[in-house]
Amino acid sequence: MDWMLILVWALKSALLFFIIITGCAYYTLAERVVAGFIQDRRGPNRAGPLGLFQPLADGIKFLTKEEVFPVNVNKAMYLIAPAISIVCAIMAWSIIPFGGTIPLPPVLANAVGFPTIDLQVANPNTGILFMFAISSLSVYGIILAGWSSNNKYSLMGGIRSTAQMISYELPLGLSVVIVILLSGSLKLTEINDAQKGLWFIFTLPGLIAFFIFSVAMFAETNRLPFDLAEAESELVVGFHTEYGAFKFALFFIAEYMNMITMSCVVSLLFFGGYNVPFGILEGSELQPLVGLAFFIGKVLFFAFLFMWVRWTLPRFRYDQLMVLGWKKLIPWCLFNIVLASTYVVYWGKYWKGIFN
Amino acid sequence: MLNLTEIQPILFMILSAVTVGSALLVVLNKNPVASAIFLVLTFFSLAGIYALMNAIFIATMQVLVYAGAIMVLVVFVLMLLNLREETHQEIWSNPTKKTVIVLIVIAYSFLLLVSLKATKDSDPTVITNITSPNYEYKLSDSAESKVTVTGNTAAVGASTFIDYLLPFEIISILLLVAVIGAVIIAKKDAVKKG
Repeated sequence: MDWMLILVWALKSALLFFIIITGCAYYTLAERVVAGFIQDRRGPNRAGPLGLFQPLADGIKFLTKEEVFPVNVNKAMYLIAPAISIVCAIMAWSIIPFGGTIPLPPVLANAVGFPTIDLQVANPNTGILFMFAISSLSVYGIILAGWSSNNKYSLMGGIRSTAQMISYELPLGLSVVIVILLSGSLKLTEINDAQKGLWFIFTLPGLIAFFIFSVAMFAETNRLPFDLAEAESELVVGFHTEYGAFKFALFFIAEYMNMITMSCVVSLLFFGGYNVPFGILEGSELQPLVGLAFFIGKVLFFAFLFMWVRWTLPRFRYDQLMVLGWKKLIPWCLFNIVLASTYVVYWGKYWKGIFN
Repeated sequence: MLNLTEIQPILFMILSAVTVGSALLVVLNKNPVASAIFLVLTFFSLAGIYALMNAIFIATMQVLVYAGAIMVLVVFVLMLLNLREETHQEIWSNPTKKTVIVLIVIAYSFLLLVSLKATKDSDPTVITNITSPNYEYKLSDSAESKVTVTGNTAAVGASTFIDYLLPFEIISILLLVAVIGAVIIAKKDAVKKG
């Protein structure tokens, strides 16, 4: 354990944090621009060239607004809730591998004392399970926000959202079980390496699991068509009705962060992650960088999918949401686990043989 | 150079202080929802202690199952019931209850002291720093075939499905019975009507 290693970790974490915050800021801008495009109007275009400084303006606005505490709120809980949301959203990023191992330039390598650097902050043995543990904690942010605000709409939104997240964690987890069965590991790097020849989306159980995962993904991030927690027409904006200024901004950033996290996870689990297709630049030192570019491309596509779906589909009714989760997705998941086990033991090698 | 064994005791102290402190707050807090949140914090710091002992898998499951799933339901139910703040007065005004509580606390602290003394006398500091242990398992059906597992998760998996297969299956049947029982209790009214 070297001091230099710890320094590099700290640098990686700080850099990652900076990237996420900037990414989220521009994701909000992209959302509004795409909304404008879909609704055939211009999006934000006033602040700076093409409206590029809009996130900056929004940030300053959130920071300089008045801090309001509604009457009779439970102050400690009211302040902790957005913090829990954002901490869970950031912590989930610590285990995402953005690329393989990148060789450092000789000058840098001599300075720090090791020749390569992993594009990942931590790689625990439990990998994807760690991520689920963190994202299951993020429910507390919403539930506490709803409860502590002392507002009926907030409480309704919080309860709805919690019930929805608990219900959809099951299909989400069960569809990840398929990926674990197919790859034989919980580590995200090994899941990625297992898809070197064939992405999991191109296998039958992987295809079914992807559709279940993507439905559950929208529900987990509280996005349309499943954003019943903040159904504007019924609940004002749900659990963060009583939140203003930067406390609201924290919920807002956490939501967008979770969406980017989910885009990363879905491209890692089903779309080959940072593997380079067709063996381009095989064995070259540049390959991990190309892999990083492919990974970012996939993540951007899924980030776009979130916006595309939001501005295209109408909202579900609450009972429809629950029926879909418990009576449709979970039985399909259980069937899919049997299918995946059969595939891994009997059919896998023939199916892989067709592609290689 | 930085030695992990030097940091470990410090981290352990911090985590155990948080665990004990939040566990006390669970009991002493008057607000039920706040108690539940402190219980989550207790589970979380307990997971930290597991992770410090290189049991990453147990640590993750601790957070995932206890903090993430069970406590969410507890908080959910507490919120729906809308409990009011508790008062400690009733217990302390009753002299019999008071004496019993004091006696239990004294007995417990005595036991704790004795056990601490006992561990002090035995072999003092053996800190094993296992990063990725290798285990070998023999499959029961043929003496020749062996499974080598590296790392925490794989070791837990292998010992569950090879060494403790029967207990594992019995537990799953128990859970199945519990699930069916829960469904029957939930559907009681529907069954009576239909």
